[in-house]
Amino acid sequence: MRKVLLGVVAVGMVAPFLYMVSVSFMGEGELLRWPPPLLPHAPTTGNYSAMVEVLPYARVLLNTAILAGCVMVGQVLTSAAAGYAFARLRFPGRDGIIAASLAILTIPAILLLVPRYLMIESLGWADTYPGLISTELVSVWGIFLMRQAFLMLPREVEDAARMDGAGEWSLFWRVALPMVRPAVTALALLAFLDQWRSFLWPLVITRSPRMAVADVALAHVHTTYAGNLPYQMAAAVLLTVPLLLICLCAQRYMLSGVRVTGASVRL
Amino acid sequence: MSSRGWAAAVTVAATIAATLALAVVFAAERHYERAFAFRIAGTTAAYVAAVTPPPQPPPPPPPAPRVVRGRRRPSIRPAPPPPPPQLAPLSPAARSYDLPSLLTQARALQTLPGWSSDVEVYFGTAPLVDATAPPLSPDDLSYLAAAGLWRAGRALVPLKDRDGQEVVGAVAVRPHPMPHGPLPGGIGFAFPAAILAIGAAAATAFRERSLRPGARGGYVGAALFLALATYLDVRAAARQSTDRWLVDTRRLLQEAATRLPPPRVRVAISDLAAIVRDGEVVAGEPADSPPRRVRVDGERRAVVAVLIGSGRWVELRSVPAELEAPRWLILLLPSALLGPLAILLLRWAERTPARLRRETAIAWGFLGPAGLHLTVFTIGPALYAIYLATAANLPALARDPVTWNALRNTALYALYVPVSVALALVAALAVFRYRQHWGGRLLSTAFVLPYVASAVVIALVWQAIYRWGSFGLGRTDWLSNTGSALPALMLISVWAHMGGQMVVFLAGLQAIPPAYLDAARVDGAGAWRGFWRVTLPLLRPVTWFVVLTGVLGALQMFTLVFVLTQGGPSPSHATGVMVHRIYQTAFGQQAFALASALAVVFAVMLLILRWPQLAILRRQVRNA
Repeated sequence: MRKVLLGVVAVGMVAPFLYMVSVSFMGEGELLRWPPPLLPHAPTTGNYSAMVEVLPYARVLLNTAILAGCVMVGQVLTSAAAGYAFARLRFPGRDGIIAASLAILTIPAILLLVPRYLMIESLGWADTYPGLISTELVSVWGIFLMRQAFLMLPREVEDAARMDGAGEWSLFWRVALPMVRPAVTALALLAFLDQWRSFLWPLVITRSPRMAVADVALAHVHTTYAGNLPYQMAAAVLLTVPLLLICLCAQRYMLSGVRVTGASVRL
Repeated sequence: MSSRGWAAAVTVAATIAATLALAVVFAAERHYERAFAFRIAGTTAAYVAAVTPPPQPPPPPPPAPRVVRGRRRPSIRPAPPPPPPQLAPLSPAARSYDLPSLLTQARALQTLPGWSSDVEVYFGTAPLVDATAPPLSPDDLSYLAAAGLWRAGRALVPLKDRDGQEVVGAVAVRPHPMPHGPLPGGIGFAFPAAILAIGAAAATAFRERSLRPGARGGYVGAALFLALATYLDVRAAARQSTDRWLVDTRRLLQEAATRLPPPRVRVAISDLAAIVRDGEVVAGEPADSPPRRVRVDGERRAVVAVLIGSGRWVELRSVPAELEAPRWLILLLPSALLGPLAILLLRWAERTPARLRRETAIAWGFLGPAGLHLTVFTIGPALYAIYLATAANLPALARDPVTWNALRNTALYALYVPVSVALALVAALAVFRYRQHWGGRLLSTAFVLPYVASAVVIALVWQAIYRWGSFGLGRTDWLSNTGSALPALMLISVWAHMGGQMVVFLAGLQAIPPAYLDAARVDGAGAWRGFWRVTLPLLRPVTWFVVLTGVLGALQMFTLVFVLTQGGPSPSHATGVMVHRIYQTAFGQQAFALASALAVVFAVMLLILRWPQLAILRRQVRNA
């Protein structure tokens, strides 16, 4: 009985998404019926073929993938390097710099929106990939995640590698980094998903349809076809499917990511 | 390092720093001289366009420098009568200028008393003032249509035809070199200050074996004095560029008053104002001749009085360039302070064992990319936002009811967080209990799905439900109803954010050792008591984290409002939240200063909530 209740709640949670898929197959005429139908009377795929053209689908996916991919690589590399320095190296002023980095975490994104926009605009990078990507390449949160992971490594491994004549660089690249792979995958995945779904910054810094990322393109469809719900739902399905596929492929790493970030949460 | 080598290194560091500061001053002075040259060239072009009449039909032949050479026309002569009215649209040639008068006006410029620059006017590519000068290259002329040009110490600006359509020539201005310093005779502070700073560094370094704190303070003082001195010089150069333009433009206006083509008995102020496009000309009072700084409607202006006829005075106003001078401090301060920094570094290197020195260098190598990026793209913009905010009218902001309404809506909206956290905890407990069963796995997938979907997709899905009245919501559209719009958004948010919160709770539940609950059970506690007395207290840090993160996220909500309501329903701003208002102010009204002020105020408010979150993180950093 309780298990059936679980199933009912689960269906209730998913219902809006099911409805989205259902409406995306409806013809325009079905909007006018009352009460609104839950299932399409005469299913059609015309909305999808129209939206692939309008978005333009391939270009939007490419833009989003470029943004998410570049930011993922950038954040992982810079966070790993800085986290390693914070966790495993000694230098004067380290604690002060760590405290300063923590203070940076308190700066909300909305405070940076206007000055970053003016800056990118004056560099002439508005509506280009560098303008879209450059501001997001470093994440303080990622640095602390990596620092936490590097702190867990036993000192003995480092000493043994040093005995074998490993230099600082190979110590980091060949020894320490492979040992924190769960944290790296967690950070990479979260950075990728975060950027795939980022909205405000791309909305501000891109103008032309050929630079639009997924959510901006979707918002554009929403304003252009305000009255045509099936169109909007078809576009939403089209842009959600790749995200779901990515999450499905990365399911295993998602769990490890939750474990890593969950661990850092509880500390 | 030997003490002599050490002292020499200190002196070299101080010299490099001082040279760098002087180089910045030099660059700034050049910048302001060029800015003056371009400005006066633009004004001259407008003057020439205003005082030269159109060509008389038939149009004169193209300029032949040989004919012109050596012939001196009288500098002032009655201007030719205006051409007969034409009914047909003007041909490009007719929009151009009468060449003989253009020649006269151009040559008159050179003999203008009190002008601080050489001037040349080109008609096409041919020079008119100094006919033996080399002509302009056609490439330069075509380039001028887009922008001004700096060529061989002269500022070149386009001379457009009478309608401002096509480039028919150019005006070139070569400013006479003038000393820029603030002291009488144009002597600057920067050079003596640089000598002083180097001297202070060398003296302390050679006298002492290593710098004692007191002596070091002396050098830091000298470096700060250097920064101040260089800034004063740059400011003086900026001030001078404005003053020079004012004085020279005054001469142009006085000339224009006598030369503007008839029929005019008295020259109108609006005709003069048309010549000065980047300044103002207003009716004025008699005043002294040097330029002054005054406040006009609360704004600082550089003004000069111009006598344009018997007893007729006008006032020429301009934005003083020195208002922009403080931005040079961004370059001046670091270059002056580079010296003390280098000395501190040398001092540290001298005392530190080689191993630690090496590790420090490596650590900075690792930190470099992230540090540089954070400085340029986070710390810099944050300071810039604060700087922008200073220009906003804060009292007006505080009186604006829309701001207060946005704050109220933001706080109200965040009230959904306790609800979603409670539901997420219940869901996490259910999933955890039935984690081996298909029901549990199905539930967790169903909860995580909205967490994975993007906010715009979620907004669109719920818009379909609300607008269409599906699932028995009825015909009233919740989103366009003043009373229900904000609760409607909160309902979406509860649904969307439960999943992510549940995942964190699950991780917390998994970390609780089962032995604790077993022990409670042995002691006779039921499931309810076990949850209340064991699980919940152990989950307290996780709960705190989820609530704080949730509230901070809720306060910064943007996407739902942007997609669904745009802050409406319209007159009451029922869903106008802070971030959306800041976005609207910046990119709707283009009021960047106001938007920055709002953002700074909002960031300070968020800081109060960030503090506990930061405390958790700090503890975590210290314990690790």
